[in-house]
Amino acid sequence: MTLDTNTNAPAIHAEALTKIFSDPERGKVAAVQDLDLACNYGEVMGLLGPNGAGKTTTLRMLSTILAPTRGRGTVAGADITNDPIGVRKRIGFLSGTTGLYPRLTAEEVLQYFGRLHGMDEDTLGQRLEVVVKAFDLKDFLSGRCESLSTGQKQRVSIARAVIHDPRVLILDEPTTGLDLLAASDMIRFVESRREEGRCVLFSTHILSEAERLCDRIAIVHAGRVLAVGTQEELREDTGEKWLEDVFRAFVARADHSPEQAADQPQANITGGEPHK
Amino acid sequence: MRGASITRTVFRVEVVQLLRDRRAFFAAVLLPVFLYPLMLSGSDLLKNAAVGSLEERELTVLVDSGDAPPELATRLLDAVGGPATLIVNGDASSLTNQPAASFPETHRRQIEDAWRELVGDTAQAVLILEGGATATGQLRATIWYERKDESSRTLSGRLRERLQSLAEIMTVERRVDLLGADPGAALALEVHDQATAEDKGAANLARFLPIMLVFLLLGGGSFAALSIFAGEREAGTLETLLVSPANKSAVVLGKFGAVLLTGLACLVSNILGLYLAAQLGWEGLSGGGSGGISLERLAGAFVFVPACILVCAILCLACGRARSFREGQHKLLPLMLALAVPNLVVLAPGLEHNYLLALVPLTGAALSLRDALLGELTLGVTLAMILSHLAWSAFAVRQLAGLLDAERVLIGAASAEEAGNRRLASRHAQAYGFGAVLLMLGLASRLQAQDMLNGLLTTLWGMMLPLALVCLWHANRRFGPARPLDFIRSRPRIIDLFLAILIAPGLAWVIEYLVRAQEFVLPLPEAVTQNPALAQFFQSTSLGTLLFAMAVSPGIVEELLFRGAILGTLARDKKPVRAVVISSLFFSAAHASLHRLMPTFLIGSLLGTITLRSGSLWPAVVLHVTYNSWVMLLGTERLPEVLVTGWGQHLVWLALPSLFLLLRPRKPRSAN
Repeated sequence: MTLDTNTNAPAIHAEALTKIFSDPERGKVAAVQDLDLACNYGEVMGLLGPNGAGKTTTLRMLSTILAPTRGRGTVAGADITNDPIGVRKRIGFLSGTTGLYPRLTAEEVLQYFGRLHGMDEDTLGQRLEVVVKAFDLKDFLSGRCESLSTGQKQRVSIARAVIHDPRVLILDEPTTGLDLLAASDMIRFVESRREEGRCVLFSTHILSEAERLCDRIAIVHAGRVLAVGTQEELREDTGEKWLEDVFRAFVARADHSPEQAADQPQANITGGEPHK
Repeated sequence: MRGASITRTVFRVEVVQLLRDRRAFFAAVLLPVFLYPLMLSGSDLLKNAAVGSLEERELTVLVDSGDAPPELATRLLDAVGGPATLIVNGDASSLTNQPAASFPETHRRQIEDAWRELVGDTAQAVLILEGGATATGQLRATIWYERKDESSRTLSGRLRERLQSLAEIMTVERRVDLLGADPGAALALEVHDQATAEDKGAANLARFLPIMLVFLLLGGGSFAALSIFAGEREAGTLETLLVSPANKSAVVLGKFGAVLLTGLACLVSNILGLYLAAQLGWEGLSGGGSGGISLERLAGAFVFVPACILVCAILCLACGRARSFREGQHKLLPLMLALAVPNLVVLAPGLEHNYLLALVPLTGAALSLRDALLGELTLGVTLAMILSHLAWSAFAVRQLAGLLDAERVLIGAASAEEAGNRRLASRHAQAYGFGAVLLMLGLASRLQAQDMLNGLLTTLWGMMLPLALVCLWHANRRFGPARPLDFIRSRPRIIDLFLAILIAPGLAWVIEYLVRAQEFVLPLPEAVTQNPALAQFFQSTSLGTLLFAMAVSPGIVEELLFRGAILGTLARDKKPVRAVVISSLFFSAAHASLHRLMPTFLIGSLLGTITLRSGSLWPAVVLHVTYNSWVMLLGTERLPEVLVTGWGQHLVWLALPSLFLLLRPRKPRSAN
């Protein structure tokens, strides 16, 4: 596997991505509908939207946990439908609800996922050194995960997600359940990834987080992308100053557009959001 | 090779985690090792203590030798005699102040009663001798004892034994006296048990080990399976595992391997524990002798390894779907009971193991285990057992791969609460179905045998209707306002009701032919074909009453219960076909007749399908009422002639197009 992060092809590319869940009670529910998205290397892209907008489902489709009902997508050059294993090899995935094996030590967790990614022992050893240094895990490397503090767990989780040095990072509400300090660790980590020329796609419903981190923001509502652009572009488009108002403006615009209203999918019943 | 290395990695990690889990280690390894020595020597200890205390007690038997000839009485008393026997020679006059011989019958009874009162108080048993005064007169010995008193029971047993052998000797003597033969010609009986102490121990063991093993395997393996599968969900690590490029089948295989290792460790611990118990001199295992069952014989228990694999796979399947430890644990008890049943076969006396039994999961292994312990294992049958169990296990392990199917895992989790509600309601509905079947089998058939008409009406309106209403109430409470499959409330299309009527004659015709075909296999007994009581019932009851009791009532009540309540609830949780089959099984079983099982199942399936397709219960009610009326009128020859031989006979052909129209796929209708 060669790391060709400098190609011109986008790191993440989605075209008319659609996921329809069939629910025995409610019939068919579109959690994500005709979603288009492109994201480049060296870029941090945020999916911004309320709970139930389809963010988690989108990220799960891109990380090949869920198969799309329609549409196409490539992540780091691999097709999400035809080559899911290829995608999984090249992405790091982390969500706010991610846990660690309580009875394994931090080192064992990292080794375990390294091996699941098919890394040989030499490479694994080298990468282990790198991530231990990068996330300052040395002090609690041999401690069982159940005995770690929330912040320490978070650092191990991040290290776990990048142990195989992925080109693309997909983070699903990564700061959920984190205290301020741990959340800022996460933010610093995302910034460092950008500097290394990796692509980071993350979802959030926290506006300040999006404001601080994102190069570009995709506003997601009711399973559709309403707008994509840099923060300046979005502000200009709506004439609003604050991101919150920008978001409201786009949602209001979508709700009043006759073309959209006709086949508006039902929001808030995506079935894709994890229970909290 | 990548798959194999993934499996190895997962296996190693899971085993490391299990070893660090004290509960799993305790349940799988420590418990079986110490369970047998503790439990079995404990029970021996208790038993010995009880026997010891019994022997220390002074046992007293009161003997009333009555008017028996003195030499006979002496012999008897000698036979009864023992260190703890106090003999009070039967001077019954001390009790009644009258000589024994002159007692009239009533007085004898009184004396007997007086003696009997002494049992349990002054003495543990009373022996009363009567007759035997003349040479041909028979001597009668009566023993009175109290079963609830352990020492009384033991004493009476001893008395009986000795008196019986004395009676045998006396019979031989009498015969020798009469025939003048040499006493030596009488039969001398000797019984020798050829089995060694080890054989006896093994036979004891074979009777319970298969069942015990399944219990301990499930108990010991459950912690492993739960923490390996459900634990992954609880810890929130499942999603990351799903997004890793590792082959999911390889991952599941590694996890299964860890559970299997626990199972095997449990098996070894069991064997070790049993060996330990035997060495400690557990009576049941040593067969009363010393030394106990050998390790070689115990090693035969390894023939149970294929069953161990199967049990572990089933355990993984059960625990793998659980979202939490608690949910997994709830599944464990029913699983234990279900998996113990096939092993009960070892309790069947003298059942020979054969190739067919070898194929039955767990039963085959249990019998092989029994044979192994008895040292009677045959190669062919054992091989068949091993191969079949490996095949069953492979099938179960294949199912396991679906446990990490991301879509089901994640989407299932999202609507987990609803799905849980649905599943619970469907379980309740099945419980009500069982209840209906039990009611019909137990109570209803008896009621109807006593009084056909009232029995039938009581059964339907008094038992089934309340059951249906409670089931509906229960289900509705669980589902809350979301009830899109409410068949009872939804208004039927008029055309559907009409079509349902048209199906009845054709259905009756088809069922009649099917029943005739069934008679080749299962001939109807005369009690069914020529039942004068039934004929009398049909003769004496008015048509209106008959129609109400045998067509309208069952049509409404049975449909409400089996289609409205049970199928309506099951259909929310299960696939339509499965829901129809299950509800029809209850429907047919509730008819409490082997001969009606097949026809009622088919009719039930048809009614269920119609209900699901039309979205309303009422076409099924109409069909049920019409069908029952038609069959009843036809059977009692009350159907108008024109319908039987005239144009009416062609009505049969309307059934097919009507059915086709009724079952045509259509858009689901809303509840209102």
